[in-house]
Amino acid sequence: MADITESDGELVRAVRGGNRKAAGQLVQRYLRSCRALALAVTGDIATAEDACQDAFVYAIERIDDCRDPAKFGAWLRQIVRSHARNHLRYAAVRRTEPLSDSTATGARDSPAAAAELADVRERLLAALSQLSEERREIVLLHDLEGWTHMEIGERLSMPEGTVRSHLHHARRKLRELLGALADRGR
Amino acid sequence: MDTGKLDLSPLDPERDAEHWQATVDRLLERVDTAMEQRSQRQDDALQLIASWRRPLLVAAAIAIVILIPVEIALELNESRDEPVTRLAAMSASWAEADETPSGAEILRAIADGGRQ
Repeated sequence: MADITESDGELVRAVRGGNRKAAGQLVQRYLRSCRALALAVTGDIATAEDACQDAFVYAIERIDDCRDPAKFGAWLRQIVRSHARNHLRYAAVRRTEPLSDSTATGARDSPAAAAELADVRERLLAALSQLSEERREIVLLHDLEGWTHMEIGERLSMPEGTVRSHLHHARRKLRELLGALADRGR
Repeated sequence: MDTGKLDLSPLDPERDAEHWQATVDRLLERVDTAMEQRSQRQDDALQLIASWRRPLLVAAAIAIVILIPVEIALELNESRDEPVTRLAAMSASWAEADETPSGAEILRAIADGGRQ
């Protein structure tokens, strides 16, 4: 049986052997960060989640094509990125579900709180859209997903110093933009 | 300026735990279906190999039974033809050089199978 502490390589081999629990473990391990990546590409939560779903299913169907099981994460990220771009391209045609209430806001929030959350979310996404895809991804992985500079550097094949620099510039730009958006909203 | 983490919590998927759980569940279900189809495809491939194993073995056995004697016969024929070819070559070289071999030389050449 697959265990949460198993390495990616072990989980991939287990999936190849037909172990469904191992496939579930990979989903649990990577879904959030893949959503952040897809969000960095698409700039839209619903599209990002759709792209993530399709990318995971695609990855499981083609798990034999993952040449280095220990690098499953990197392989999956390429798939997510490519699916996110395709979804972005065909978003208008493919999206069957508009940004629904439950997607946009917390289901248990009061209508006023939900509206406020939706507004903040919209502002954040608008500000994020002004950054490069790379910076969006870095800021989402660090400030939303809690990854360290080192982890991001490893995943993006980038020196830690470069990650710090991108993060610094991304935050500064976002603060400026969010301030401007807040001013415009008043 | 840049003073630490930005609050991106409004984008946190687990902010709406219900929606996120539904998303995870839906994905796990799709992954499960993909795994099921994968295992079905593997079973089908194994079944195909198994169903073809017997005819393939029979075909291989027939090929062995037929081809080995044919190959041996061809080898024998080739080795029988060799002295004739050599003698023909030797006669041609005599004719080209305008040589007239003696009777003893002809007999020796035949006895040696054309080896010089």
